[in-house]
Amino acid sequence: MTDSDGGVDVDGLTVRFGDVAALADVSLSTDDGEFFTLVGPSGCGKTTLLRTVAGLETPTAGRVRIDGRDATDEPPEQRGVGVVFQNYALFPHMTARENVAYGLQFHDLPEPDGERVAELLDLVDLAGVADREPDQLSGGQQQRIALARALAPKPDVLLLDEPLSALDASLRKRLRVQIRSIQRDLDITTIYVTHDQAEALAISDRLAVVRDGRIEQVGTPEQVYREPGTRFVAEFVGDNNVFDGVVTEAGDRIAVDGTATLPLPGEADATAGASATVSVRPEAISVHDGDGQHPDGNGSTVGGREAGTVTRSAAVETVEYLGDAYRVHCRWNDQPVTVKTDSTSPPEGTVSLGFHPDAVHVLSNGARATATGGDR
Amino acid sequence: MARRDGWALWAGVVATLATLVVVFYYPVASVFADSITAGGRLSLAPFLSVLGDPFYTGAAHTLVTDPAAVPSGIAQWLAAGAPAVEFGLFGFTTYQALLSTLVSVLVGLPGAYVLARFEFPGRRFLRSVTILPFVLPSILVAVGFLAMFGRTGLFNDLLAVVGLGPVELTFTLEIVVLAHAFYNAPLVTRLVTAAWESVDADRVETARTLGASPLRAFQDVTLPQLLPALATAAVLTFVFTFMSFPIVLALGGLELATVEVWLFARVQSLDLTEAATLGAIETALSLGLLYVYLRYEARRTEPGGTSRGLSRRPLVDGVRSLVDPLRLAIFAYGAVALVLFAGPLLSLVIESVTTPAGQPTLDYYAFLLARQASTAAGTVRPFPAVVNSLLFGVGTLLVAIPMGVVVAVVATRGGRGSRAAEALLTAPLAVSGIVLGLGMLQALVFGTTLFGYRLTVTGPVAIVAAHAVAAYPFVSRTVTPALRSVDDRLGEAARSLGADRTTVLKDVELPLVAPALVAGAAFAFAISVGEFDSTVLLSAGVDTATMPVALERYVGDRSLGPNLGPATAMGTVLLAVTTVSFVLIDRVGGRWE
Repeated sequence: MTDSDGGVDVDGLTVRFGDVAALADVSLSTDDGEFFTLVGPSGCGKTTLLRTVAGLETPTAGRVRIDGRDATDEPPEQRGVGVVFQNYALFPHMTARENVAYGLQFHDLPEPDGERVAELLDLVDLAGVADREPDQLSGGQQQRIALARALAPKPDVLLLDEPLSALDASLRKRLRVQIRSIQRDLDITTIYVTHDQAEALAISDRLAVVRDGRIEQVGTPEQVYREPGTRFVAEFVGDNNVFDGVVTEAGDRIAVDGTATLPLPGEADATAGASATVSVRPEAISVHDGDGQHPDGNGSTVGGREAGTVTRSAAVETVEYLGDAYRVHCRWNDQPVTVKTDSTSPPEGTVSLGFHPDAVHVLSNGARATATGGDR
Repeated sequence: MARRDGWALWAGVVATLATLVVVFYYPVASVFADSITAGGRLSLAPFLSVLGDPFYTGAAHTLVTDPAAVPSGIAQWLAAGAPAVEFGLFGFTTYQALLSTLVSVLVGLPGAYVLARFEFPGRRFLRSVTILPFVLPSILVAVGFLAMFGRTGLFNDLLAVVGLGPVELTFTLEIVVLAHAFYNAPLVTRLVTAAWESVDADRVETARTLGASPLRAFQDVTLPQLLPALATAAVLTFVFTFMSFPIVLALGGLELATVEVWLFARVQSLDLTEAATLGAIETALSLGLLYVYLRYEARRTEPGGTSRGLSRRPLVDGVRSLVDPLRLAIFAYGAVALVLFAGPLLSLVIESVTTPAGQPTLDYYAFLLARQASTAAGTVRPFPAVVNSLLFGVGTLLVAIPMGVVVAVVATRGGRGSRAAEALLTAPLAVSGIVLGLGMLQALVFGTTLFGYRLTVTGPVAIVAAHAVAAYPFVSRTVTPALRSVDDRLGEAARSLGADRTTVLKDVELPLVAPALVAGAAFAFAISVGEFDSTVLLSAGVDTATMPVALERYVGDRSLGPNLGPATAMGTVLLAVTTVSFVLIDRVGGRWE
C-alpha cells in the first residue's frame, strides 16, 4: 500500500535496546480514520511500536509518517498524537477538568469558558466529576478522563496502550464499546495495543498480530480469525486445533499420527509426502453420540456424506460448561481435540466428531496457504 | 482490631511505654515544668525573663518588656532607613539555620539531579552513601572539618600548592554552615532523588504528547512531585541545624553560640532554670514546626498506581559528551562535592597518622591505648572512653531493639495505634539531645522522690537510657517498612495451620524482617556510639566518658599539643565503627527513607 493521506505509516522500523531488538524491520500502514489494533503476547514489541509512533522511543532505523508527513525526527509534542497509557498517567495534582484542559494551552485552541473541556467531559459522560482529583475517581472514570485528555487537543492520531487492562471484565467490555463509538464519531485514526485477542477481534477495523518484534499477520478480524497465516496466529487468536502431519499419496489428506488422517480442503494444492500443518476451529466441529461406529478412530464419511462431512471417533476427557455452549476436550488417537457444541447436555464417553473438509485450514508447507494475510 | 494479639505484644507495648515515660516523657516534662514555675508556683517569669532579654531576642525583646513601644519603635526604625537589626541568640540561631538550609539545598539538589537522571559506574554506591551522615557522629564531622579546613588543614595545604591562602575558617560562620551542609545536603539529595525516581515516566510522556516541551513537562509534572520531598528535606534540615550542637560547639565556639550551645553553657554553670526555659522554648519551636509540616504533608496526595520510572542517560557517552557544558558543570560539581564530603574524612585519617611536620606516626593511636596517659584530674582517659562507647552501644541495642520492634509492630497494625506510633517516633526527633540530657539530669540523676523514697538513675544506666531513646526510632523506621511488606496472607496461612499470633511473629514475620532488624541494630549502635549531646551532660565524671565526649575534650585541650593528633586518631576509630555500621545497614538491606 502506498502512503495514504491520513493515518500512520511506518516503514522498515527497527528499535533496539542495547543488544535486544524490540522491533525488527516493521512496516505497517493504517488508513485515515481506521481503528487499527496491535495484538500479541507481552514483550512482543507492540507497545514499543506505539511508543515509537508517539515519538517516545527513537527508532534505530526506519521512518514514521503521520498524516502524510515524515514525523520520524519530530519530538512528541509536535506530532499531533494523543496517548492513553495503561495506568492512565493522570496528573495527580490536577482535577479531572485541569487534566483534560492541560493540552489545550499548547495548541492555540480558543477556549472560551472551557467549552472544549466541557464538550470532552460530556463525550465521556463525566461532566459530573470534573472537579475531582484523580484519586477520587474510579478506575473506569480515570480511564475515560485520560481518553478525554488525549482527545482534547484534536490530535491526528489516537494511540491507546492497553487502556482497559487494569479494569474488571464487565467494565472492560462496556468501555470498549464506548471507545469504539467515540472513535467512529470523531473519525480519528486510532492505534490500539492489547494482549487480549478477543478484544482485538471485537474492536478493530483491522489488526496486526505481533510476535517477537515482527508482524505475523495483518488483516480484518474476520480474515485473521478465519484464515490465520501462521501457526502462531492460528493458536494465538481464538481457540483452535492445530495438527502437524504429512500429505498422503492421494494428496487430498494429511496423515496425523501415522494412520489417522484429516481431509484437506478442496482448493488446497498439496504435494504428496510433504509435511503440513492444518487447523480446525472448535466451533466447526460437531459432536454426535457415535459410540462404536468408527472403532478405529479413523472412520470415513458415513452419515453426512452428501454434505461432504467427515467424522472421526474420539473419547471425551473433560467438559467445560460455558453457559451458551459446552467446550469438550476430547482425544482422537493421541491428538487432543477441542470442540465447542451448543448441545443441551454434555457429551460423554465415545463420540463422533463431524466437520466439513472446507473447515480445515492449511497453515503451512506442502500445500499452498490459503490465508491471504490481509493486504500485506 | 481484627487480629487477636498474643500477650507478648501487649507486654511489650506496656514495657515500651513505661520506659519512654520514665526516660523520655517525664524528664522532658520536668524541663517544661521548670520553665513555667518559679519558687514552686506557676509563673511566666522564667519565660518572660528570657524573651525579654535583649541577649536572647535582640530587638524583639521589646515585645515582652514594653509592647506599647513596639509601633513607635518600628516607626523610628523605618525612619532611620531600616538599618540591620539584631534579634539576639534566637535570631542568630534562626539565621544560621536558614543559611545552612539554603546551602544544604543548593549543594544537595544537583546531586539529586545527577543521581536520578544519569547512569554511571558507582551511582548506586553514591546513592547509598547519602545515608552515611545519619550514622556519622557530628562531633566527628566537626573534627574532620578542623582537619580539612583548619589553619594547618589539608585545604590550606592544597591552596598553598597552587600559591593561594592560607584561609582562616576556624570559628567562622562559614565553616559551621559548610559542616551543616556536609550533614544535611545528603539528606536533601536522598529525599529528592527518591522522589525523582518515583516520577511516573508515563505522566511526563503524556504531557509531551499533549504538546508540552521538555521544560514545560518538567515544570508541570516532575516539579510538583519533587517539591514535597524538597520541603521535607528543608524542614528537617532547618530543625536539625536549629538544634545543632557539637558542630557549633567545636567549630564556632561561644562567639557563634546557638541556643543549644548556650543552653549547654547554662547547664555547666548550673543555671538550670534558665537552661530549662531555653530548652522549653527551643523544643516548642521545633515541635511546632514539625507539627505544621506533618499536617501539610498529610494533606498531599500520593500518586497511585504502578509507575515506570524515568530512564537515565549515561553520564559519559563518548568523548564528545565530556565537553558538553552540562557534563562539565556536573564534573565541576563533583569536584566541589569531593572536597566538601570526602575531604574532611580523608583529612581526619591522614592527620591521625602524620605529625605536624608531615612525618608518619602512630603515636596518636598509642595514646588511645595508654590507660594512664594523663593522670591529671578531670582529664578524660582515652582507652576507657573507647570501652565505654562499645559497652553503651551494646546496652543500647538491648533496650532499643525490643522497643523499636514493638513500635514497628504497632505501626503496621494501622488505625489509631499506627498514628500513636508515628507520634512516638517523631517526638524524640524534635527534642534535642541537650534538652533530653538536661531533663534526665534533673529528673533522674538528681533523683525524684516517690512515696518517700528518693529514686535516682545515674551513670551508665542513664546514658544507655538516653541513647536508647535516641536510637529506637531508627530501629522502628527500618523495621516498619519490612514488616509492612510481609504479605498478610503468609501470616493468615500460618494461622490457618494452627499457629497463634505470637508464633506467627516468631516463625514467619521475624525471619522475613531479619535483614531489616540487623540494619536497624546497626543504626542503633551507630547512634549510640556517636551520641554526644546528652552524653556530655550525663557523663559528669571522667569514668563514663565516651569516644565523642573524649573527642570534644581533645579538640578543646591544646595541652596535648597544637595539632589535632589525638582527636583525629580517636575520630578515625569512631569513623571505623560507624563505617562498619553503615556497611551493615547498606548491605543487609536497610530502607530508612
